[in-house]
Amino acid sequence: MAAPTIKTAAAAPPELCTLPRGRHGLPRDFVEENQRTRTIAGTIEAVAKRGYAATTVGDCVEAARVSRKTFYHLFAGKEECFTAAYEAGIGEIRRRFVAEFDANRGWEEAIEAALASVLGFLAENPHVARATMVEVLSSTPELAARHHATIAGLAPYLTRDREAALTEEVIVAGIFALISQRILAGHTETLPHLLPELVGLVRAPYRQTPTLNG
Amino acid sequence: MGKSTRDDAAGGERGAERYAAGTPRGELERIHGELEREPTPLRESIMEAMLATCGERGYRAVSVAQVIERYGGSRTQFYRQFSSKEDCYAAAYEWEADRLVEELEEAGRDAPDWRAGLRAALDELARWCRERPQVAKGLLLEIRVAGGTALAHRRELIERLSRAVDGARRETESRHSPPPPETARFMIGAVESFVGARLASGEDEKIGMEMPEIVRLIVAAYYGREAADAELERSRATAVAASSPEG
Repeated sequence: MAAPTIKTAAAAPPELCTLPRGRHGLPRDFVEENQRTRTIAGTIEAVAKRGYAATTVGDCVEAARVSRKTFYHLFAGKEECFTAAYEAGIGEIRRRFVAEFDANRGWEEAIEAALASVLGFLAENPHVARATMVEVLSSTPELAARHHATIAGLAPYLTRDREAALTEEVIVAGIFALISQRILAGHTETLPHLLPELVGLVRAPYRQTPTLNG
Repeated sequence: MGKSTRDDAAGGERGAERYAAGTPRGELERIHGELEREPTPLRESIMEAMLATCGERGYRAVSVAQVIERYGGSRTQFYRQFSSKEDCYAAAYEWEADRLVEELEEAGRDAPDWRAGLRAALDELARWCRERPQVAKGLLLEIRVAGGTALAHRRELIERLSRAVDGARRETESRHSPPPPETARFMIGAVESFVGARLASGEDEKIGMEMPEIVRLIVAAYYGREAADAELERSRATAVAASSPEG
């Protein structure tokens, strides 16, 4: 039997593979979880390709290779499924970002490692990048507001004492803006090249006035 | 269309005024004029109503009927000017975004140096948000929902503002190590996103008070921290003065 695949450009984790047809004796929870993950991945793919407004539930189930019945068993509709998709995408971005700061290392190193981790993830998962960083703002006002809140919530990590401050809030907004400008322009795969730029920009407000010697 | 529409409005002669209204010739001239999409007062009030209604209800929920109700005209008038809601939003976005960018550039140009120009432009942005929060929401947030041709226009304007901000390089070139090439785009994107977030959460009255911190951040990127800290005190005073009610 040929290895089952899904059609996302994102490297598909094994749990996203389609289930064997017919009776397979797999536990019901496992099947549901597999279908849920696949439906979310399909929705991410459909929204990334067509844009949120133009995407129909039909597009989502086609990309996910699940039945319409399965889709509606799991989600009330496109909005609910995309909300779950956004949560999954932004959750991973946040987890990667935060993990580097929680690891016991210097602040400057942590910033570089956190940005490298996020940029690498987005470049390898262009559909997730498009859906989570760009399309979310065109989805619903509630999700757009949640996205703004998530961005602001990362700000304390940029400060040495983890106190939220306005400057850091604006810097995180700039990081997200520059990344989404690249994705919108169709250059998602080049995101890792932004690393030295972003590190420099994040450090700028803490840098001493530059002189001829340095 | 786009950038040149304002100039056309100032310099152009409207056909409708040359023949008496109501005569066949006059009617043809008028329709012709409208089809050329000159920003007539009527067209402007429809575009303004479109943006404000979008800011209030969100682009997707807006109907042409609501826009018509807001500016107090007729359906026929609307469809003489625009073919659809999408068409109207795209035109309204370009018109208002061009006006905003021109005002920001003008504020910057009138200032004695780059830093004063930056401060003046951001104060102008804060004033625009405070005076017309619904239009600001309709422009800065709803463009992402509307998408379409206006997105390309947005990108051009970001480039234009980035070039203005990057003007600082001319002042710092010989003295300092240059900031990263994407600095201006980063800052413009940060301001757009940050101001959008404040508008979305209904905290637009805070924007004016927060501008000095943003000025400090941008100055820091080009001139370093000491210059930025010195700038903060000065621009804070300006923002306080600017955000207190006039008169």
